[in-house]
Amino acid sequence: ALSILHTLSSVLSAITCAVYREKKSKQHFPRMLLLKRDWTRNHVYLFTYPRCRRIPNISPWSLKMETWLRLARIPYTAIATFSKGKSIKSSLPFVEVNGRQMADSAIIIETLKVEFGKSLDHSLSSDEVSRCRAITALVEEQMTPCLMVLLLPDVEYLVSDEAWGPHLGRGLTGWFRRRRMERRMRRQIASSVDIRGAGRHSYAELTDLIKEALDALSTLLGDRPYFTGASSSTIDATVFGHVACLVYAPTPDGVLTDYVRITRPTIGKFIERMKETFWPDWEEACRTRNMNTHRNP
Amino acid sequence: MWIAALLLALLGFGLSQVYRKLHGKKTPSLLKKDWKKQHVYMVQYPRCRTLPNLSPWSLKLETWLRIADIPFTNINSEFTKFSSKGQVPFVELNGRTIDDSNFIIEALKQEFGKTDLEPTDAKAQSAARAFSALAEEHLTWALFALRSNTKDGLAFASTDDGWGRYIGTGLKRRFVKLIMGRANKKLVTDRANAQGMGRHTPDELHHIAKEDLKAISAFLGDKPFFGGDWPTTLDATMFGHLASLIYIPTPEGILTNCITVTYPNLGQFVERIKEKFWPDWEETCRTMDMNAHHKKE
Repeated sequence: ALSILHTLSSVLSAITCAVYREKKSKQHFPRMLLLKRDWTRNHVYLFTYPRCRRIPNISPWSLKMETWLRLARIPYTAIATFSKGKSIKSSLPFVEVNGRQMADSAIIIETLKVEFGKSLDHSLSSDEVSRCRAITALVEEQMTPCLMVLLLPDVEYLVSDEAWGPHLGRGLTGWFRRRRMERRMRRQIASSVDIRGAGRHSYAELTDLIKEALDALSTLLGDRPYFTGASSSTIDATVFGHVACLVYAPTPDGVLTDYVRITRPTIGKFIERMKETFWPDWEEACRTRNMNTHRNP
Repeated sequence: MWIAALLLALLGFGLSQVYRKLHGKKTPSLLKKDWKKQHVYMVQYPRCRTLPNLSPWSLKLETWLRIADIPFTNINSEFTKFSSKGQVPFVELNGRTIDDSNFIIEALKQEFGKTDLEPTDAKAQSAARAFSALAEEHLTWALFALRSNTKDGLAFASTDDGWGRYIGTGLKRRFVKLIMGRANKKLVTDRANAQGMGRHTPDELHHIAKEDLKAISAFLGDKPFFGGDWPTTLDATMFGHLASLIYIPTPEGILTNCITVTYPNLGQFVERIKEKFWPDWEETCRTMDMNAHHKKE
């Protein structure tokens, strides 16, 4: 009886799939209409999440993208948006530059390096390049999903007044928009982490995994100022974007923040160094919620 | 017509929920009741003709058990048995279930006192952690998204060389593939989209996979194993995730070419591990026996 039930339910779901067309992502069709119509040449328009009270951008990838633009000294204008649907890959952050739209931070960085002729990572040996790629995978694909699982019970923080609340409006409309955004973020984060397996770990397992990742980062940094030696490169922006979100994340017990600042001070000092060098307007940006407190080169 | 589709969808959904409640995906009690002490019982997917297991994590765990020289027996999950986290592979040892391949490896290292399976140097350990994340969380998901994106990418699993024998033969198999094929493809595409790799085009995914292979090849260099002269846990991880590139045939063979011709040290590494730790590879694949290694002992 159970197998008949199983077969019946799978047949019905298959027929439903045949009837309902699956949502194709927009990857194959470039947008004909840019969001920023009156664009300047050789100027990047970065579409990203709005500012928050504790940290300029609560999404690790967006913070990484913006830090990289400052590091690479590329002139940019940040524009606050929530609509992922308008981007070419339905993801945030995305950029528009010289009449073309690009999404996914890794692809944007590679393309802009060529387009603006930046010799940012040219002096790295193949060993260092491969190591940077591995560190990026460690941080983006292992550490941050674990952090997302830890923060999943507190998704309403994202729509509170400390984070995106003021951008979603006030009054009754604002309340509805906040609830919709909260539902959307919870569903998105939950599905993403569940697939990876991180969504099924317990609190202790997740904290251990994050601590081990931080240990590895601390050892790989060593006593150098930046990951590739004396001058900064793309990997520094990546690590800063993700670890800064961890340090300033609203976890109730602050275990991980203490781990970074006290137990692994190498990484803590690295974060402070990056913040002072590339985000001198951190306080102002967080206080005024202004997207463009930086000075362009 | 749309109302009929909606009603069908609701009915299918309701039935599948009833099925799940009744049957459940969790295995509450031990599978192997008459277990031997200090003997690992590993539950994994059934065998295939070209390589012992299509799942990279199962192949990695079994290779690791062979490298660590721990006595083990495989149990066929028959696609019905999953761990308490809903994952495969999982392990039963001394009356206890352990989930998630990485946690299994940590637990078994402690239980069996295997101390020489990690590099001694802290920097090498951190690099191993980073490259393990690159292979497990980045490269494998790029390949997963590729299979869902390209036509016939998932076809291998339902052939005779794959798991075709579980679907039936002849007309029954064609019928099941027709009904389940579209539902399966939607499931895999949704998972790839949720994970994040699904938003890339096949060209971009090929580029990502090739860059990852380049990084892994640079890290391996001239060494016989990733751990130096003797294999470590990272070698098991790399073998598990790279073997599928050589042994799962694809119509274009782009990545097979990449791993055997462009980065030959990776292809040679896979062959080296296969000869050293999988002497029963041919017999396992030919007979599809879960425990051919017992006969060799």
